[in-house]
Amino acid sequence: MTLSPGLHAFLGQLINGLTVGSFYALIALGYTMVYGVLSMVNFAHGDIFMVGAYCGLFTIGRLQSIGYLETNPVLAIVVTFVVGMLGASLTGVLVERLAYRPVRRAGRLAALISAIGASIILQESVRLVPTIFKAILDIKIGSHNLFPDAFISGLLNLAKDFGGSAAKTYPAILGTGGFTLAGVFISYGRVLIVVLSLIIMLALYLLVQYTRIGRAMRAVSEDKDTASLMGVNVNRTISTTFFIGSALAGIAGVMVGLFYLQIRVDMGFVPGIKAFTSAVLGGIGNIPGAMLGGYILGLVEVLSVQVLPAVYKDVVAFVILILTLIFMPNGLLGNRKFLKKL
Amino acid sequence: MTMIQNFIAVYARKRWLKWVVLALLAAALLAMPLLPIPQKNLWVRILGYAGLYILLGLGLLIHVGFAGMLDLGFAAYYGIGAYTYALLASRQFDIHLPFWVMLLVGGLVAALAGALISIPVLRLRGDYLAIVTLGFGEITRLLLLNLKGLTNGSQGVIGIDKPVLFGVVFNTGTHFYYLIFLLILLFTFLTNRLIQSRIGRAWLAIREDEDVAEMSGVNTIWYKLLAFVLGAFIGGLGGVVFASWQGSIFPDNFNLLVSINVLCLIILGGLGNQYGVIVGALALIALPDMLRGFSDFRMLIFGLLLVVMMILKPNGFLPRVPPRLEKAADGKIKPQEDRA
Amino acid sequence: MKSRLILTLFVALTLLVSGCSPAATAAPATGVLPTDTPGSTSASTSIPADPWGNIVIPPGQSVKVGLSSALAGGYAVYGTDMLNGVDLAIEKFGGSLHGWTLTSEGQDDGCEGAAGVTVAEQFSADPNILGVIGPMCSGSIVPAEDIYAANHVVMITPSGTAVAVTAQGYETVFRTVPNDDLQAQVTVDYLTKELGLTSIAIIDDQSIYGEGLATAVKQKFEAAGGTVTSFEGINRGESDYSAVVSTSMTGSPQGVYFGGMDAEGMKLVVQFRAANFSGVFFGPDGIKSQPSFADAAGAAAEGAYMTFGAVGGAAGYDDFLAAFKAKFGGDPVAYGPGSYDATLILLQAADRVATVDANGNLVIGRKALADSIRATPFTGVTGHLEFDQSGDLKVVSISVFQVKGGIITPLKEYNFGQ
Repeated sequence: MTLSPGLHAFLGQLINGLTVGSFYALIALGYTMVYGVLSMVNFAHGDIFMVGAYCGLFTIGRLQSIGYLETNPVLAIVVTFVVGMLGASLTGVLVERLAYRPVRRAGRLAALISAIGASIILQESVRLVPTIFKAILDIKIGSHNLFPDAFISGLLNLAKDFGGSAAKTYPAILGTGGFTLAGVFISYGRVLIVVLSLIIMLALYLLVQYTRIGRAMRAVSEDKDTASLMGVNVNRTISTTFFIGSALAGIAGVMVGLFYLQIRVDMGFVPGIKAFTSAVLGGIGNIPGAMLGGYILGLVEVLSVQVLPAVYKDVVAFVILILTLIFMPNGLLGNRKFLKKL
Repeated sequence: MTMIQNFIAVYARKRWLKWVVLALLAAALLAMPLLPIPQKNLWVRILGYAGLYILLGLGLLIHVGFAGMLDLGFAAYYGIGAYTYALLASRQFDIHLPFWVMLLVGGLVAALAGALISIPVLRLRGDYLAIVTLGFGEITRLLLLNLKGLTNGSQGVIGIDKPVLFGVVFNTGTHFYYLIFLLILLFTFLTNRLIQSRIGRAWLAIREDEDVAEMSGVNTIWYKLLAFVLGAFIGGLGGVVFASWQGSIFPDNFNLLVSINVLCLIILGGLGNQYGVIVGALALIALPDMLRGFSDFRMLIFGLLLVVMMILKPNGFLPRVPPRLEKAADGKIKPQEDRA
Repeated sequence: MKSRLILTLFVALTLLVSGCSPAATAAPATGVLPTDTPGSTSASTSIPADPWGNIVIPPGQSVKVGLSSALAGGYAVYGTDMLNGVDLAIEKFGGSLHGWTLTSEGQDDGCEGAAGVTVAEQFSADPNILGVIGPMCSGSIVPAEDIYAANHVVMITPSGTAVAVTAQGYETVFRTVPNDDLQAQVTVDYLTKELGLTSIAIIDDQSIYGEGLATAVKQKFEAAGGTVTSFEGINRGESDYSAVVSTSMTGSPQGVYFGGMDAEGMKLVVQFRAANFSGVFFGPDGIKSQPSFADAAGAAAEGAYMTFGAVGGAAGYDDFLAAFKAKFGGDPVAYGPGSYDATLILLQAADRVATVDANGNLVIGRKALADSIRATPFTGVTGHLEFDQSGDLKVVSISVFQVKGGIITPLKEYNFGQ
């Protein structure tokens, strides 16, 4: 079946949009869930996405160096996802505990500034990992190193995969293979991302709708104090929310690493803003809204290239953000949260 | 902290002593570039640059501290002012308008931008306002980056003219040091007047509780707009100075980090206090110099400072400057007759 | 609240006074050259006056070779490589100049204009800087060279290839690489004559370097009778270039030319191959990096072409390579050998013109240094390096390379100026 060039290009862009949309949707869910329970914008969420990517890099780097990546690529990738996810979720819980919980009563402004601080801390910590390692390993007793030399060089090499200011690269394990559908080439990598994302999002939706944890989350987001009175452990629910939201961001981080290959410590900012835009677009606090917003933004962004020069992609996202906040603050699917004055 | 407050209280009573110390400090700062200090040029530059940030801080203070609007996109005004000057006073289009005129023009163009940006956001509050201003800041940077025919994009505008005053060309750091010093004095004075005026009282009312202010008859929309415009003006002015000092500017000079830096320095100092801005800027610039060995960790410490400050002292180290209430002849506080 | 002002200013001044040496903070230029450290007596009458002033290093202080390159971020692979080259050269030179210790000081300019200017100001205000190797990227050089020239600081770049770099005619600017007009010429020659392509799409990274190259390639390719099906710019630092990939592929070009660096080149080649593009991928010296282009892109990089000022085959290269590997644990990436040569050129020139004055200070005339560099031919690991009046090399050679079996392999050499 041969398509006209226009339709061909459009379908190709559709696939691209779905891929990019998956990333935005996964990260947006974290924003929306946290906003739901805490009414705060987690400015550091983009950096949690970054931490997930680096944890994944570390894992896949180790697996590659012991040859496991060659022999068991599928299992290796699964392990990478798990570690990336866990790294991100633990970081998220830590951030909540240390930077957000103490300022909960101090007002919106304080929470936002604390979030900015947390974002900077995360970025810098990852960037400084090799430096810190080197500083520790350089500890000397008298004129001899505290640690054995082989240990030092081995650990330094390890640390390089964990952070540093230079951009880092994932092994190109996904390859460039793919299949052709209706004359449009679809790579396996894209399929993996879209399918995996949809599965995860479905799992999340089921969790929130049908489990006790989910019910607790919905209760806390509805009314924190009443939920507490009804016996819900608010603090633990909030921590769980952060855990899950950050896990999703972590998975997105590993996906980005596997797909685009290059990660940097400042990679969280732009996707973070775009994911936030998606969450707002769908209705912040609203889980299906975040998913919908993510895909819409992904598609709009990719299709905007047909009318605008490609370099204006980011401007499109910001403009959508602003327009939504001004004209449609409740988002597409509505948002009970926003009806309260902030 | 109370020990210091007692110290200040004692100090405060002897007014003449305050003025002496003030004069001494001002004299020291003024004389510094003329003294034979080692590595003087570096110091002149560092203090001058801190001064530029103080100037920006004064502008942002109007947004955040006085009118209570968290602005995360202040670098936009800085950039607009800078590019306005750069495009009209460099080899880019071979137009060469004079600096002193452009100081005002740059500020006004930025103020106009502030007005335009503020109109849609005046109804928003809290973190939504913050995010929208962040969005505008980034859009400005991206437009500067991508409107290549106008701004030369990532390649920047180079060969920007220096100011000329009575035949003297400002081509050393010392020239700009004094210029910035004067501008800081001027704007500290002006903003002080502003706080003490009706406008300042209206801002205080809006900051404390916007709904109550609205109900008391304060035209909140108008005053918030005014705050935006004035703050943006100062930002734009700062941009003109920066462009002429550095001689070349790039979109990357006006990124989110700049906005965050300015925000952080006024937070460190205390959100309602111009002098806090000075503390913040000097801490931001002087501290890294002292921690020379740890300069790599500067941003990390920065972030930690932000979080710790919000946990411990969300209102900053120095308290806000409340407007003076009027007192009647008998020393009792006069009720306000005019509507703020 | 004047009392608070007093307190804050008092505290601030105390901080400042107690702070020792000011660190590298971003601040605009002085324009005033800090030639002599105030407090030390000026050069005695036996030292010839230099029209640009002197570098004066008191005894016990070190002589610094500055390096302006991307030491962090997306292009750090190149910057670190350059720093290694500088360090190895200092070691080869003996580690000291007339008894004064030599050290390197690398500052990160991120391959950007803004940071390049900041670093230029820092180096220009540092009285111990002998000269600067770099800046790495043409986009940093063009704004920074104004500052280096105003302060009479010599800069030798082993990687800045844009024509604009020497266009201003500054006497302080030198480069040990060919310019991009020649690089574009070689590219088009190879595309048309060796590969027989008649249509290409062009992408650039919107930097002075990338855009300059892309424009030059476009002009020359069209002049040779070829068709350029699209000419698009990208923003550096992004991840997803699927849009520009799609746009470039409509029109079915036989090849794609990318004017830019390794980080973007790697992402582009991966995304082109992932979009099932089977045509030629051609890039400039900016993508010639085994680790960050060929290895990083994996199978996608196979068959990609690139040009580069020829390296290797010069006498002494093998020894250099062995020493480099021994000291840094890996091969040089791209500009390491060039930085090595550039540093030696600087140090040897300094060696020739340096004198010690009556106070025991090391004195180097700035103009004398620049003139000595320009007047003295140098044979290094990157070949025979001799500068003309504008700081460009008189004789250059450019080679075309290809990724074959995952390794960047030279194919054909072009020589100019011989």
